[in-house]
Amino acid sequence: MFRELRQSVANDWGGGRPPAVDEDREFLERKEKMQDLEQQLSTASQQAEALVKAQQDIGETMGQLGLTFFKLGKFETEEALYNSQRTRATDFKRLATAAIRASRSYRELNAQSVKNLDTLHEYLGLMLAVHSAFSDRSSALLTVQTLMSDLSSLHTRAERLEGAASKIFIVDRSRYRKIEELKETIRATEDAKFCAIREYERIKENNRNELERLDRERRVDFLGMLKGFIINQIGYADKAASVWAQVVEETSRYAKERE
Amino acid sequence: MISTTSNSGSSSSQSPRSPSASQQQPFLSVTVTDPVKLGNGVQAYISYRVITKTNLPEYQGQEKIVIRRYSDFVWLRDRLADKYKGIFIPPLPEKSTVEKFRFSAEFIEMRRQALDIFINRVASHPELKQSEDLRIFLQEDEETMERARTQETGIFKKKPADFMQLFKDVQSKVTDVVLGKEKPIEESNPEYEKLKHYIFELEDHLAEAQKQAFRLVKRHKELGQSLSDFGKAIKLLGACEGDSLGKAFSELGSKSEFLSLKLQKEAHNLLMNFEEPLKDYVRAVQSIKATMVDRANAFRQQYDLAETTKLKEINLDKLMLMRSERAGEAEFEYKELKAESEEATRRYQSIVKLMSEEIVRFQEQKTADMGLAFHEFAKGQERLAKEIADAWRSLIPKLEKCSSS
Repeated sequence: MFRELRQSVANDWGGGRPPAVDEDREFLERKEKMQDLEQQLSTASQQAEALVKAQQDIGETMGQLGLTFFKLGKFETEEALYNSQRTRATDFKRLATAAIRASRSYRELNAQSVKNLDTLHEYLGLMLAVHSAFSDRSSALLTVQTLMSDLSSLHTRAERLEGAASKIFIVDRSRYRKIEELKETIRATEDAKFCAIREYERIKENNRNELERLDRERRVDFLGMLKGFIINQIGYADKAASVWAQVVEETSRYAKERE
Repeated sequence: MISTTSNSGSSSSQSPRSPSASQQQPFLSVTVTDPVKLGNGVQAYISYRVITKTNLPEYQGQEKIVIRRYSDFVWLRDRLADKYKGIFIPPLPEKSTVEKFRFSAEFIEMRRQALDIFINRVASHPELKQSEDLRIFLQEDEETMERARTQETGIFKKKPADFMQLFKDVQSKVTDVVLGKEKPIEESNPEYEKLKHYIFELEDHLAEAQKQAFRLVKRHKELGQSLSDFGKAIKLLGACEGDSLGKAFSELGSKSEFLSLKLQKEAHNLLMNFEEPLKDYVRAVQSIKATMVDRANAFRQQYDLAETTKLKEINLDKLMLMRSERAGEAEFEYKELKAESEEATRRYQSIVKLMSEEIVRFQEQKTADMGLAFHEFAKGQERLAKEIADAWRSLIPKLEKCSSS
């Protein structure tokens, strides 16, 4: 690891701030995957919302249709002069009842779907935490790199001063003092560097653990979400099928008449 | 396609006792099919094949195929409306407000279906099926048809009714002034009033129902679209996750896309077999309203003529009393007017009688039509629900595998 750091510092020999580039390949891959995941989560989260809305809309319209037919049935019953009207009124009411029941099933499905698919929104939200974990790591690395760069220039200055001092035979008190101060600064910076490296390592370890935990939990939660989603859809569909099967049976004589 | 059975005296030139008739039921069945877009740009139109299968002697042979366009159907409807007052003429699909070259496949199919239903209703109506205009429509070649159709301003415009209209306008003013009536004359028949009220309210109810049905079609399409989008997004998410979880996502996404297609299919089924019958119902009610206008006109005509005839009679008596030389002329005019008045009364009464029969037919037909529409609607919804349940159910074993791995 130190090799990597030295490498990136060496690349920026001119001093100044090196870019906070981490060449830990495993980490980079993970980071890219997280970015990809975030994008897909964002899209999936949006589409999930749109799906829930579409389900809500169709349920509502089904309910309104039922209500309209119920009113039609009532009207025909009140105005009936012929038996054909009374029969039709009954048919209207049957359809209305089925439509209203189907609408209710949709409403139940929707409430469940919202809860299910919320998992997507949750994990999208968690991406924020991942971001801040990554930026913590970046700034920790930047701190380390900055300190190393500082250290490097301090060493250079120290070498220059000592080199110059060794060429002059007269002991220059001021220059000597400067060298001592510089050596003190170097020691302090070395300490800071070790602290920064320790901190960086700590953050890296945390990140790795957290990412692994995130992956584990996400896997479990997503599987649960899929299962829940499918089970709810099946529950709704079975209910709807039985509601409409009844109407098919009740109106079957009209089909036969045509044949 | 509805096969018709013979009603007694349905065909004037065919003897019901003839051997051919007693051996086989007379039938007339028509199909409207194969819509084809012809012409270019603004002059584009859709042509249809109209296939007639019949054993009626007025018709040329067992099967005849002609090419017709929408305006030919309109011609037939107008002619029938003109000649068969009192009968609820089967409705036609509306003229399109959209540019002809923008006709969608869906619109063309809806129109074809509506035209097929129209022509079959005409062909199975006991009165209308005897129409000479129907025979022309079903049998004549395209040039003859076009000539008939474009001959709008011709002999068909000059009807006795037109003359009566002129007469009525002049005389009714006199009558109103003389008799002190300012309001337009209407029937006062409580039963008929009830019917009018029923028809108008029914139209409102049905228009609302049709609107909701159309909205439901749209919702199915929208749900289908969002399922498809959701499926795609879930698949991408799965590709990102990888492993068995990724695979589970991918399967879910595929199923979503599969169900999206089923929803689009059901949307189309709903449109053709549920929404369109409702729209047809609305049109039928509007046709009844047109007949009601005819009845009101006929009533007013016979009423005005009756009043005018009375006045003429009074005037005639006066002239005869005075032994005027104008008495002879007046008597002639009076006799003519009386004949026309009686004719107008006959026309009005015919409409009343026809309407009462038509209403019974209408109610019965609509119960059958709606029953079938509801059956198709329920069938489609049940089928869709089963497809949804089956599709999702098939994923459960795959999911179980995922969570155990």
